[in-house]
Amino acid sequence: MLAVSKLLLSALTVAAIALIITVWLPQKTISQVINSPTPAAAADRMAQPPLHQIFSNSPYRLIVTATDSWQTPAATGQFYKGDTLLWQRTLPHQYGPRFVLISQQGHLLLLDEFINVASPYALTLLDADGQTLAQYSFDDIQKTLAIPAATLTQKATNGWWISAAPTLSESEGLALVPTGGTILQVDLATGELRRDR
Amino acid sequence: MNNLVLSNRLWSRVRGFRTPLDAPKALLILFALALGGCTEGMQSPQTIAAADTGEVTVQPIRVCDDSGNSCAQVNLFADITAKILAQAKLKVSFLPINQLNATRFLSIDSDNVSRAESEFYQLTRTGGSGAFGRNSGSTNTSGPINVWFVDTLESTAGYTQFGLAWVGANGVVISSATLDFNNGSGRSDTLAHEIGHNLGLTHGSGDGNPNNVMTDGSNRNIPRSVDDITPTGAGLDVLSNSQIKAIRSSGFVVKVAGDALASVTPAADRSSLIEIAGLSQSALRPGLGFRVEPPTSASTALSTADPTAVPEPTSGWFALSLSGGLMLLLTRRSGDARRV
Repeated sequence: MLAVSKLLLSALTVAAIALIITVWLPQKTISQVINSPTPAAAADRMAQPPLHQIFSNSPYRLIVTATDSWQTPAATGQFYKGDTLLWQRTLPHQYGPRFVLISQQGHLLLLDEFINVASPYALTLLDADGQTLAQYSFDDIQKTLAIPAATLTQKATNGWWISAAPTLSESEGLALVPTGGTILQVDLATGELRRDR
Repeated sequence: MNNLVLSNRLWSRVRGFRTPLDAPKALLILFALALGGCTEGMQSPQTIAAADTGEVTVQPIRVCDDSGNSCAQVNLFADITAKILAQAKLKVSFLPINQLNATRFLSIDSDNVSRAESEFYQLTRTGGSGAFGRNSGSTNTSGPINVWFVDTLESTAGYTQFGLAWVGANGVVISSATLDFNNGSGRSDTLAHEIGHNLGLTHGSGDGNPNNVMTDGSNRNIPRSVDDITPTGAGLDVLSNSQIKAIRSSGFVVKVAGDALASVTPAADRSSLIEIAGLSQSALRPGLGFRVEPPTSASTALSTADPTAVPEPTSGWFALSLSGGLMLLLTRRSGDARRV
């Protein structure tokens, strides 16, 4: 019994000394600041669109320019018929639209934004004078398509919802936008949306 | 030297023992080994089992000019950051905001960051514990993750830069472009993205999926609210299984006892969400399991960069010293008993 008591007392002494060493020693000898190797760095950054873009369907042409080389995110649109400037204005899309289609009547369909967001300007239809004929947000389009938002984003290759470059059907006066495994039809005269069945 | 002194004291202390006791000896050895194993486990995040939860602590630091004015904006997007990391069963705790008064750090050059003269390198890797507003408990690979909010991240021409971080090491910088993004809606997943880098994830770990939180900034879809984060809504900012496995092994992840994510009630969340001195917080959703502490901003004047000692984890030393001492003790006792 005495031996066990002595043994336990010794063990406690050892533990106490070990604790003192533990608390005191490392602070005096180890620095992780000085010796650790420099790791690699990574960034969350976004490639800006070109400073100057031209979208055309003769005789019409839209020129989108960065207001101050993207120092501030603002894009200006200038719409020409031949050499005549029909209108000029700051576009609501911070970095400009992702795609632009121009009908034979001079109607402009601006599709989505260059940045990958659920834009309130997912579709904007302007007439030749620059007046807004129709405007749809991502939510409007999702409701029209009746496709879950998660499905749209999973099948998209450009931003939230467009899965391939849109095309014009000049004979029908439609823009055809691949999205969510189907085609969204946009009437370029009225702005009416239809899902391809 | 200390161990030698300890050994001498042990020798003298145990001279009175004469009887060999194999059972206690074995028990003590087992005790020492078990203690060593336990403490090692506490240091190693590898011990977090799949069903366990972990915690990541974030130390926000607002950078201001030398006089403490013209401060960079801060927005933690706390709910979104928390929901993204909750995929990995990680709870995110935001500490009170520190303040660094140093005009030269309001604009950070994001190129050549590995050079000692770069602002990012100096902020994150020089000056010792607590310098430049860092949390005093942070090390390069453990403790709270330090996040500086600055005005500008200067980038290569043709890019807008929102965040910058070390991969697998401590240090994040967020620029005000993050808050101005999308007509002021904010690039709300940048902080989670950069924390992911600190936790060891690269852009490639997302396999280029636009809905993965680690995909590079030109291709990633950006959420507008917490509802867009997976598993709800648009299903954005996904963490893959391999990414979850990787970040749970990070030294920044501290194991949390029990199911902490589930134990945080909506009421607790709401009562702990504090408007941080005029900083805009994105809307809080119940049940996400994160905490925002009250804002007791501590102003940190710019100090000279003198690297100082930072303590390493100590429990391993304790177990090692204890084991060694006990082995010496018992070996001596056995020798004494044989001689008798």
